[in-house]
Amino acid sequence: MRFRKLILVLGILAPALMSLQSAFAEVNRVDMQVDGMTCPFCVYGIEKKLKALQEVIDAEANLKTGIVDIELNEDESLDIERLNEAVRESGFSPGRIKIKATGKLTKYEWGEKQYPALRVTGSRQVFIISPTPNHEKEEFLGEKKLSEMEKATEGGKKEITVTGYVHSHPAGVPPALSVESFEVQ
Amino acid sequence: MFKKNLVAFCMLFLSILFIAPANGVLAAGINTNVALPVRKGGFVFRSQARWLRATDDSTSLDREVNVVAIPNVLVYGATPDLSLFAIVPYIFRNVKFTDPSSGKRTEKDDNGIGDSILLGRYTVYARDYPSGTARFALIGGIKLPTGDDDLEPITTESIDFPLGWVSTVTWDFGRHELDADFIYRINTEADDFEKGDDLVYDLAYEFRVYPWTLPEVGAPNFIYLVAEANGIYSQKGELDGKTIENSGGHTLFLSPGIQFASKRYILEASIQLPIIQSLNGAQVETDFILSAGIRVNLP
Repeated sequence: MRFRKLILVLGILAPALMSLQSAFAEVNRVDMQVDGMTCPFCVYGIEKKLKALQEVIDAEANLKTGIVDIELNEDESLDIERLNEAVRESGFSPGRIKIKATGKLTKYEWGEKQYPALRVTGSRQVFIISPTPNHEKEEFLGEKKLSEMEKATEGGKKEITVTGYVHSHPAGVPPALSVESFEVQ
Repeated sequence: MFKKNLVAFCMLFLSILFIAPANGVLAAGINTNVALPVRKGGFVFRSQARWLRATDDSTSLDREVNVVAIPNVLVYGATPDLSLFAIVPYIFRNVKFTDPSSGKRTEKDDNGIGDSILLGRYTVYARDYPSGTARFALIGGIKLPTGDDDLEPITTESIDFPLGWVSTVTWDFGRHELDADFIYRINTEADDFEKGDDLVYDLAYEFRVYPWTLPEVGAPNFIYLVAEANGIYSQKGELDGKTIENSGGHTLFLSPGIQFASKRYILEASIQLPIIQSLNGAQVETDFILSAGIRVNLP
């Protein structure tokens, strides 16, 4: 009897548990360029400062590339300025931040305009998809590429994994994402 | 009176035991200061054992001096640009000499805490690149007479003021590093004794020999070979208003060394060999300074 009740309870809870799992934020990867890193003793301070942030679970510097791989807490949003400040406080210079995030295409209203955006799965994180390049060397999302993304996601219905560079906006406005590549789930 | 006689008796080039390693707490030259940052709110600890041996005495005293100094340095990152240093050395000194009155060989041992140094280093220029960094910082501070009187003239009653600059350049993803510093120490008079001012200049080049090629991921442990030139020029001292003729001069050391650097620790060893010793009057010449040390990134 008890066994049947257990199965019943699990049966009821299962969908909820599954939905909880899918509710985890899916900023899959954050790669931050940090200039000036020269030796393992120096990178200790950078990793320490980044790991002290609530949203960061782990940070590991790569001396060959000058990039710090950052693992974000699944419940937290990416705050570019906080990452930059942590690197500055360690005495080094923050560079570009590249992310890989999974979510759905949406629209974001900024002023009187609507901008294409990516709402990250399972979180409140939104990236405004940047129509213009933030950095000269970056690929950026032109109208053609945006229409390709919208078509591939069937108008935003399917999930999409996007890789690109981010930069911050004024407080209260989501960060921008300059799309380098995308992949529909 | 005995103390004053001892001061005159033991004048030696000892400033280099403490000035040079004062703020070199990050990976770089072993006997040269560096301009690399300490994270805001972070602490780094450095301790070295530096053994100076000086035996070449042209006088009938035939002095033989051995000094082991252990400068302990605690560094605090007040801001990304401003680091504060507290240096407290512990010193052992052994002097052997021939007593002029009895002709017997005599030995004297002293040990105790040396004079403390408080320093600030402020980065005035920093340019970071993906493959390296270039930095220039000013340093200045104060030497306090906290040392044991028995250790004079290594310790002095005076309050002194080291001032200078330090610079670091690294390139090729940590393969090469160049450090330089230039520190002038204004030594004041106290207890009728004034040690002459010191000018310390250092140049260090580090070459990473391991790993020869950086791995694709992570920050591996490094091994550097280090070559340094460490110079010190000291003015003559004064005792009771009279110049101590057997004091001051110029010494330049060539200092090969090796350094192991990980994220938490640096282990290092170096030997400083004098290639120029132009000392005033009859002084004991330094044979070498052997140093070994550790630096720790405190959590």
